[in-house]
Amino acid sequence: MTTLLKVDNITVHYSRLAAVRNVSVDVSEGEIVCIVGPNGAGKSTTLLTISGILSPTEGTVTFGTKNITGANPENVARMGISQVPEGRHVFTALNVEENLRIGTRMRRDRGEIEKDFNMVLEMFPVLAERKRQSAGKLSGGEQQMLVIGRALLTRPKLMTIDEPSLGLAPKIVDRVYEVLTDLRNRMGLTLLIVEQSSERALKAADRIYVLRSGQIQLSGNAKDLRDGEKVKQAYFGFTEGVKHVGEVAF
Amino acid sequence: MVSTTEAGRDRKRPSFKYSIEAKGPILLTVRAWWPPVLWSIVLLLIVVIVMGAGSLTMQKTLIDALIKLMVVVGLYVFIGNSGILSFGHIGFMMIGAYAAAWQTCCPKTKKLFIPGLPDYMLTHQFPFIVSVVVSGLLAAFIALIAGSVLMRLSGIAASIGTFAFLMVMYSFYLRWDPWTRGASTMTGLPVHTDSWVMLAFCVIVMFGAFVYARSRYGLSAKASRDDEVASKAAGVNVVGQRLLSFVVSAFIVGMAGALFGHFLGILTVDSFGLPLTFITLAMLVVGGMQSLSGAVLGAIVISTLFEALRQLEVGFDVGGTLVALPGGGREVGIGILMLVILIFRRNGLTANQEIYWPFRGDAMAKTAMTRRS
Repeated sequence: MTTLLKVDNITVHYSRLAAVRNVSVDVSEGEIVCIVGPNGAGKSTTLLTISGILSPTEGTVTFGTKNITGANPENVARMGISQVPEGRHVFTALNVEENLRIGTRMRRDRGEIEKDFNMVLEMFPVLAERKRQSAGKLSGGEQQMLVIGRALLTRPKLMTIDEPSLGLAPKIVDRVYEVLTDLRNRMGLTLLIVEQSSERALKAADRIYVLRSGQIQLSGNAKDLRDGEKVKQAYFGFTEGVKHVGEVAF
Repeated sequence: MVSTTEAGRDRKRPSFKYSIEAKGPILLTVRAWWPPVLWSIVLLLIVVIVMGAGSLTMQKTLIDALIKLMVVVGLYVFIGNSGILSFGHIGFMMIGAYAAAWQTCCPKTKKLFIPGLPDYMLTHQFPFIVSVVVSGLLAAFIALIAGSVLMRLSGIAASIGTFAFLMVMYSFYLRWDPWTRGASTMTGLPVHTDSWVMLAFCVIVMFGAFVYARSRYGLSAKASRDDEVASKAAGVNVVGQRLLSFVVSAFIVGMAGALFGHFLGILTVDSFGLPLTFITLAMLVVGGMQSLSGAVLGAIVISTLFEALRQLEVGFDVGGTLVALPGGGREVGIGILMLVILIFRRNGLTANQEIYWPFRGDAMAKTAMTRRS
């Protein structure tokens, strides 16, 4: 498999504070890669750097063969990295259809647009039902579907999603992940997902990276890490402490 | 415009008691374009009534009100779609008005008053309509230059930037004697603007604004208004879209300025200051900033009230004694009214919605235009 996205040793600062230090992430075509970690680990920062909203102070981001380090966000989107930002950013004043149309904004292939448009409506029947409804009036899960649908309509090569489970009921989260896995299986879409829950990441992803305090603690195939022990250690960091407390308790 | 399957789906809906079913292509078109069609009819009625039954003063007031309406529609194109409040558009009106004077004043007057013009401009006189469009284009061009800097800002910073633009243009025109006669009055513009000309321009501009708002460009601008980050993530060039709406609205406001010049026949830099800025913004805010219907309705309502209060200020004869509002009552009255409207209807009279085909299947009409974008 060819490498689609290569994040090479990036360091990102918020003024003087380094939020991310020497982080490298590779994503190959057709893969689902999850970045997991606790609050403030630098997961979102990493994604924002990939999408060009932040610039790294060191390191490079390469997409395909192009160096996109510090490119502006519209251009990154145009190159084929579709971003689903954290917290379900729908355009509340527009209706569902108009929201989706924004996704086709930068495309010129009219016939294909209609095809994709119908495909998205088929994939999310709930959106088809509410085509004319204001997007602000959708439920949280529906909004998440809408944002994913909109991202799909840009025909991305890579879709980056920041915390798709944020503020959603577990059942809805299951549905969101079902859709995401389905997208990969059916269309061969490459996905880079940021997730807090290591359990979910292990279930959905092919490979995971565990990020804590701005550094990669662990990376590997989800299959090999399935029992979750290593991930937990990397995630929380205080390995010795955990064991010790455990021994006392039992 | 609207496909047959849509009309078919329409028919399955439970019908209202009084329904005009939009069937043939004409009605379907009317339905899809309902907001500007509706307001064109309303304006036509107002013009017919005032021209038929109103006094000369009333007719003058009407023209003035229609010019303001055109400015407000221009403001709506930028403010409504990009979400940035602009205090600078009256500057474009001034640019348009003076550009019209440069073109249509007779050569004699120009040599006397504004000898700084280039020779070609001094010796030639251009037709009215040409001058209006060219003046609009000049305003649009200035907007392109100023906007390419200002539109990089967001929110309140951008608004203050447009205010600074107004102040710069105002001071510049006030001291640019060879081209504008500075603080003195520029006279000699031929009077061409009557109610019918204004009506025609208002109708064209309303349709233009509606088409823009429904186009992919308008949609992108609105997306960037709602959520800048998400629209960037969807590949929208936020600065570019804002700039486009800025230029289009400056074009409209610039034309309104040229028409204003041809209405009064005289120009002073003084008349393009803050009072006009605030009255036009008040119209937009009272009507509802994010819809064409709001812009038009706000302009009509405020103009009507302003005129009514003016009449009250002049006073009525009640049994031999003159009953009148004290001087300045107009401004106070408008201020109170704005407060009342904004307290009870925060998003303006139209609540930022368009007024759609009232009879049936309005939701269909709403997106009939967007489905092509």
